[in-house]
Amino acid sequence: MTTDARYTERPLFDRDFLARCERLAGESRRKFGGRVLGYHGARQLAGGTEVTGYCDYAAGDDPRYVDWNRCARHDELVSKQFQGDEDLQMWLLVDCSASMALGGKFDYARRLAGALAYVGLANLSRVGAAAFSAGLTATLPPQRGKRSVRALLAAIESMSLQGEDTDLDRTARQLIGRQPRPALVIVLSDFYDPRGVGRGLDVWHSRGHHVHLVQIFDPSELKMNDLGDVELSHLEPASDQHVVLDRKKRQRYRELMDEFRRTVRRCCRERHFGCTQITTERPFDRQLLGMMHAASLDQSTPA
Amino acid sequence: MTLLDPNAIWWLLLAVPIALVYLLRLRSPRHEVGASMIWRQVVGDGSTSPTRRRAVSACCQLALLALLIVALVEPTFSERAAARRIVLVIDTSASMTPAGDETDALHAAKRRAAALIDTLRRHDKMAILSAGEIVRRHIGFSDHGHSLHAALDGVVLDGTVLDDGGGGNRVTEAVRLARRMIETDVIQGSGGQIVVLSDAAFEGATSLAAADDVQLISLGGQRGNLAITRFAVRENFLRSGTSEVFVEVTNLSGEPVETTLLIAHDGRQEKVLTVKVASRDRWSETVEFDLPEGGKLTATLQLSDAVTEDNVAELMVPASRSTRVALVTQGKPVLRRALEALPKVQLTVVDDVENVPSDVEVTVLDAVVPNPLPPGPLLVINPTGSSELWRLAQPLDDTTVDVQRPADGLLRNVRLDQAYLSASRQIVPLGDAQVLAENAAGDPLYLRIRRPAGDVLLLAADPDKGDLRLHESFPLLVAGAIDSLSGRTTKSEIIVAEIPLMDHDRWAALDATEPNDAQGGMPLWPAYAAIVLASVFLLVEWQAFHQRWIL
Repeated sequence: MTTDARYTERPLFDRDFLARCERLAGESRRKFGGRVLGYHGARQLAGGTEVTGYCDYAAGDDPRYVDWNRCARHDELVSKQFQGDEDLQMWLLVDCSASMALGGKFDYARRLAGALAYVGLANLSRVGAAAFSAGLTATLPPQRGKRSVRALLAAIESMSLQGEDTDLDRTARQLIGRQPRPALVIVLSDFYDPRGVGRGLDVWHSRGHHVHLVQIFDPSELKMNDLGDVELSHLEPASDQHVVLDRKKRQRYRELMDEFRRTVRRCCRERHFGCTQITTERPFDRQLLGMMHAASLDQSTPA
Repeated sequence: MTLLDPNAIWWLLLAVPIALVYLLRLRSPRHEVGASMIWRQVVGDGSTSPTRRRAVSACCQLALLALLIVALVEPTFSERAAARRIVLVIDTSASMTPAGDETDALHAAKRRAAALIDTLRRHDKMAILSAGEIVRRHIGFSDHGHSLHAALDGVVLDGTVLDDGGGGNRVTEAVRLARRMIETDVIQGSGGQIVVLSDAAFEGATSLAAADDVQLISLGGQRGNLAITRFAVRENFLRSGTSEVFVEVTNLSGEPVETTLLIAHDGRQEKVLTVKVASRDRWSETVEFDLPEGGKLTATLQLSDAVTEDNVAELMVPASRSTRVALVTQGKPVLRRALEALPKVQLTVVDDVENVPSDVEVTVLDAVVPNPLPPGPLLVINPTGSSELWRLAQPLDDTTVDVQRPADGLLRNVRLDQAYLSASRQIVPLGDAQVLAENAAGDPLYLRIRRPAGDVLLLAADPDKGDLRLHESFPLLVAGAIDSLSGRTTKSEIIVAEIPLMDHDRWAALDATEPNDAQGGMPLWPAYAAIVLASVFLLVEWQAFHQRWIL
């Protein structure tokens, strides 16, 4: 199911959007030293010339970094790790599953992704974008330089709802095939994954990626004020259900929603990943500024 | 089955919004939710169908509406109730329009009559009469509502004087005509009823209100009632030959009243009194009349109020006549003065029984006992010897009155208790005697002996001695004795006019908005069954939608 018509009536990234993004980029440079959500490209593993260690070979690793001498001696495949000044590589994953059609979540996620891409490119990072639902559906490899802003925004704007269920584990495995080297992965989604978010985060964590989850809700999802006879239209998976809602059930729903949000936060905290849970009520630029401010505080606070 | 109020069937239109609401609510509000993973934990996988629940609810609501309409249309299975004959009698006298505008009693009567016409049942018929200076029949028995309303519009004021009994009102005649109409038109088993719409300011209103077949609906607002509540006459003890008339007026209205009261003697106006009485208060006056020949006294209040019957009071005063009394005495002063003080007593004093005139009515023997006793009524004071009626015995040791027995007014207002009479001898009656006073030993001191030639009253005391000469009761004792022996009604008796007292409370009880329902003993179980059914429907409705009601 696609509801693109609702989101393409007006340009997603208009002149006002770009102006706000420019202000955000300036704020990022002045206040946060060019970091995007607290990360920058200095001293990144791999990509440098100094060998700092070894790790087990994984599918997708560059064969040039395999230590063939060690392979000959010990009959095991290991990849050499280098360290050096390297630009930050950032992937923006936008959830295109059916549940994102609720309210303005999909538009909000794309605007937020566009702003992050703008700020990242402005801070000399390499930024790639991908849409996902049951897996990656469209990807744009990491781009560099402000000249790539137009291409990135066009790619993000062209993302469309897929009408499929969310599968974060599969998405993570597909992404590390395309981005074997550690990168900053920002996932914008509601994370309605029946299998949970833990397995997907484990995949990224095992490959050294740093992940920041941005969980987006529509305000009606959290409040749910309707009572009485209600016909629920589930977007993911698509189905209709007639229920009679009373106060008890409504309270139960709110408790489960709180538990769901706590679970996502806990998964991120256990893996030292970042997590931001937001609603679509707040303007995206203020939201992003707040996210950067919170990330800088986390970086400055000793673990 | 007959519907007593078929117009209530229009309430059935309420079923339309109920059905519309039912149809509109068939489609539940649609709410988009992102993913089912949360909701499945809340409500499970099942889906509840609201169709049956809403259908049950709509049926309950319609059933409740049906019960309500059944109650409103008042179905009846009684044929008697379905064939009433009602005659409306509208008072069109001048008193019905004191205000002369839409607020007067005539307009109120017409509005009430129109309402009664609208409540006619299927087989009912109604006739309309008006009672002003003459009785008019505006329409005979008809069940056609428009005709009845048209006839009602033709009812106008038909009187030039107020209802003071002077001929400006013919309500009573109209009721008689209504009764004849009902007798000739009424069908077997049906009921006839006369509804009088009036300000009740006419003679006979009270009796009309009490009639079983008449319902008097009082109109014209809260009219006050001024009533003569006491009307009495008695002899004037200060001026012989005159009488004192006592009249009391009570104001039963909520406003003070000032009016005049006329007192007429045998139709001739004698006194005009001004009556000023506050609300819920009484006014009284005593006036002196010269009524030697007696006659009829009539008191009349000069006003028109809610009840006219109590504005007039009448009483008959008997003619006053003198009593010829002969006193046979040797010169005792106390008894003589007592007799001379009595009004309407022509006293003749002689020293011997032989000198008593033949035309006297009562003979008083003071310490004289002739043998034989003279004919006619006798009052014997201090007998000095025996006679054919009594015998004197030994002197009494105790001459103090211990027991006093009033009889026939002989001892009215007389109190001889513990009065010491002069020394006397015991009196032994030789026949039947009525003891009126006796000492502690039971010896008679004052007694009455009946005989064919005239009663004899015997007082065993010398009034010139003992306490009796100083006792204020002695003149009253003598007066009572003379009155009793002469057969004259005592003039001190108060004659009270019995005036019915009516106030607004009673009129309010008489007032009713609807003619009496002739259904009679309708069983109550249908009502109970309907209540139970309604309760069941409400319970089902509660169960069906309680989740919504307890939001």
